[in-house]
Amino acid sequence: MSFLSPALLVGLLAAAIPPLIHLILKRRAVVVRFSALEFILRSNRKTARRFKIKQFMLMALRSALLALIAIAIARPILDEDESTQLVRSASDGATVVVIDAGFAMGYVLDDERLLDRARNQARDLVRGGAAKVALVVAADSISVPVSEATGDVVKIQKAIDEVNVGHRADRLPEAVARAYEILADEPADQPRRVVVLTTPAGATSALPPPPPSGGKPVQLIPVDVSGGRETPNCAVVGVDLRPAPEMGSGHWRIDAQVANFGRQKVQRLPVSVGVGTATRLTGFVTLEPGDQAVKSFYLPVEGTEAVPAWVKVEGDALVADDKRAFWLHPAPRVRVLAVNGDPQPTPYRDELFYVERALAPSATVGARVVLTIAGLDVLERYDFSKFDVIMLANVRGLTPEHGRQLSGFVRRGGGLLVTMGDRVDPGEMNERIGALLPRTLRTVRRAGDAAASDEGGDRQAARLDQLDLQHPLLSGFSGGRLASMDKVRVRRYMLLDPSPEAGGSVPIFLDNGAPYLLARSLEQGRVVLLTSTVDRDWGDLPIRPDFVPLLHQTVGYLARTTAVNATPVLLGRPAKIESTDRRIRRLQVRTPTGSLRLSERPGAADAEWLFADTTVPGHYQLTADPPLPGVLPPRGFAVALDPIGSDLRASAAASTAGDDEGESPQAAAVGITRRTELWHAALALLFVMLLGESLLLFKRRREDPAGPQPRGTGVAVG
Amino acid sequence: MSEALRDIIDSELLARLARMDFRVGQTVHGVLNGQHKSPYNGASVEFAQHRDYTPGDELKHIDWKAFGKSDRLYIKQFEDETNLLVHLLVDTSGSMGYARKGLPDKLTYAARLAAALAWLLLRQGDAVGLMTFGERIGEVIPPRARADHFWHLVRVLESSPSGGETNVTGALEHLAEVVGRRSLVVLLSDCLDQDERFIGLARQLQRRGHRVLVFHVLDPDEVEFPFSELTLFEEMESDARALADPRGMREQYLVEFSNWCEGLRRRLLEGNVGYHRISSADSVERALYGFLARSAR
Repeated sequence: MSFLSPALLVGLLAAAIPPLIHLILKRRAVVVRFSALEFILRSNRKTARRFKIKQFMLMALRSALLALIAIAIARPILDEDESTQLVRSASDGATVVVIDAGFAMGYVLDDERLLDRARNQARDLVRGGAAKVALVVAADSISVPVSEATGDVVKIQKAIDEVNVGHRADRLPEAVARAYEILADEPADQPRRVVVLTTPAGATSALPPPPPSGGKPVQLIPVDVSGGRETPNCAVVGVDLRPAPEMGSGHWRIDAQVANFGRQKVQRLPVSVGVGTATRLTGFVTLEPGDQAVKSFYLPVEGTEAVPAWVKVEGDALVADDKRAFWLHPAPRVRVLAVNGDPQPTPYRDELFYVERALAPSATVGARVVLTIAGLDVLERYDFSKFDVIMLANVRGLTPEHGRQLSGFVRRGGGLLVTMGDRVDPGEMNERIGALLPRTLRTVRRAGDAAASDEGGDRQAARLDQLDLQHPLLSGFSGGRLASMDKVRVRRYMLLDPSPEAGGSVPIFLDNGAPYLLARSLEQGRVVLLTSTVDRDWGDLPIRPDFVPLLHQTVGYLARTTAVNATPVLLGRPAKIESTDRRIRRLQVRTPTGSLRLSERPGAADAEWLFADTTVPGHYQLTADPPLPGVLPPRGFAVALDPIGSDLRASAAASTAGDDEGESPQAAAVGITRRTELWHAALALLFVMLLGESLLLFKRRREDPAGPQPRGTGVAVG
Repeated sequence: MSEALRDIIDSELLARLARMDFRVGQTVHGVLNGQHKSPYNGASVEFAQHRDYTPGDELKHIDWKAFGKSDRLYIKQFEDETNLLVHLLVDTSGSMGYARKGLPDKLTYAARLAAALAWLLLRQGDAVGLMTFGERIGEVIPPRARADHFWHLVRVLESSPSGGETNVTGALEHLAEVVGRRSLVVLLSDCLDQDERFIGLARQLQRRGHRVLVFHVLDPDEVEFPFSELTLFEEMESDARALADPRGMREQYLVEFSNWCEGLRRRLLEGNVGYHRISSADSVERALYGFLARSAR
């Protein structure tokens, strides 16, 4: 029994009023000094017990009256036991019991899985005298353990006992349709019904309606085995991966999508990401009811092998959807095409001398930058789409074609780094790629000019100022890693046109207020502009210790950056195997359970290679069979549960439909978990109790012909 | 208990009592001529009987006429009338202090009744004494027949405080020790004595030739028990108390009290002890007239 307005149960406190009044009146009893006390004592001994019982009955009756009023106001309701109703409804005709064994039925409610509840209800139905019963189970596949409606209780119970939770969540409609097929063979003049034991969501989902047939219509009775209880659940519903070179070489950004399928807010839900069996990072998310949130993690992948990784939330009542698997591959190398606008025969005078050394693999442990240096005259030879970042270092003489190519490159997701130098012609540069730059170039300035005028001294260089450490270009630095930036001296720089509407940001200024490093995003790509040189012609940045990490950070920032499709294969759906090397004819697939499966390449050249046996969530690892030395096998894949199954909540539309009796067979059936309001009964009981109280009082008045006590009788003291 | 003098004299009542006689239904000893039969054959004119002469009898009492007729010596006896010796025993225990509102307490009522009786008896020449008692014996005034003795009695009755437990037994035991010749013993009490030996003592006094009258003085509350609300009853003679709902126990109380009164009456009457139940709600005059009327029958 529950209440529609449980807050009003506070009125139950009123039940304490009669005992309190009794205690107060007892304390305030009239005190009378009386002569014949002996006779009172003698009479009291004989009547006290009977009187006390009557008094107690009256007090209890009055307390119960008040409590009953409070209960009636709180509108008690009785949720009739589904098993009782089912047994009552299945006493004649044929019944097909459909047990939903999707992964959501593994939800634990009061230390009992929903599946166990469903099995118990099915057993009750069979034991309770159901005439003929068949059984259909919607697990990973549709199984029909009892394919004909039968009265063989032992057989049905054995089949019920063998039902186990599967991994899928989309088989229920199919199972219901199968149940209709079974009932098609039963006499149409007898009652026929399909009882679906499922989750709240399943009971209110759009199940296929019974097919039209002659005779009595088939009745569909979906039963929410949770009994209408709340089923709060949080789940990992997706994982997005993207390389994060700005966080360091080989880093991945992992965006874990976590959903709250409950009706209560979830505070600080722990979300963890791990590799293999080890948890690597843990964070927290707060989720509003029915809301989703993304928690981002940055994780490096070392080595050359893909590693099995996972995201999970803290275990709740439904464990199956708390963890989601994916593969974490070594981050791709960043390919940089550097256009040298001022090559020099003397190495250290070369425009790219410091860049080349900074991006060399030996410069940074684990660096994954592949640098290609080209002159402007041979630029046509390079396909820009093969590179992630293009660097224009002190370049002059860009053609309009170069400009178009660079524009297309950036807009499609490439990164462009532009640095200044003596050879740069601001007019030409503005004409060719001015639309890509954060701001257009104006003229070359000596830093000392402004500084000298401001300070009246003889300063010949500007310093870096206003470093925006929150900007992605600098966010990778921490602690004292930017210490050397204070020592950077800039003697000359490119003055930019003022452009209030210009997009982008300025992570570093010069102390004279001029921008030093600018960044902007343009459609899919990014552009970074350095208003000084990357050699020592205009400043000494390249010889400062922070130059190397800053350059790597910049390249990583520019290289970003398309997200890797980490969408797992949904359980039960075929996984597409990407293998271009046709020497591989057959693959050995290691499933999450450790078992091995073989998968043959399809004969047709243009046919997709699919692996269909994705019955268990987790990591699937691929190896060539037989092993082929020097041939890389295709990437493995991960299989995940369908997040639709994680939402156990009853759909609002279906709940509303359930109120309209007789709309459709299913709508009527959803009402099986109907509530019976009890306030009528409470009021009836109230009336009876009032009669009882009146009777008691009437008896008392008959026993009390003396009427009210004459005040002042005797020697009253109190 | 009250220290103030209680008002017990009603002069109009005393005037009306002057026209009444109080006669005891049996013979009593007395030293003065009075209105009551005496056990002594005296010099009265009313012949009583003859008895045989025995040596030692005064010769003047020999009926010589009878000797002349029968040749035997007879002593001629006459009935004598003597004055009455009366002991008024007034209970002044705590329970006698109870009173329904608007009515006198039982002690005041008993004192008024005792005063009226004393007035009546003294007026017809009887000697009246007084003993007050509660748990112990209080004032004891020997019987006197003088007219001014009345006011002595009244002063004592007016000033006797109520208090202590009822001890009628002790009072009668004391009286039995001190009383000499046959007397009239008048007990005015509510008789709420735990020790019921006083009934036996009253009967014993009666057997010894005394005339014992018990005026059972009760308050109407004791008889009717009109309480209705939850009440904490406190004993007037001790610290005992009882919380009770009178509505639930009234019936039982009335049965208990009535049985007790009836038992007391029956046991006293069985011993020829006079019993008169009086309610303090009745006027003293009415109560006294009622008693005298019953006595006359």
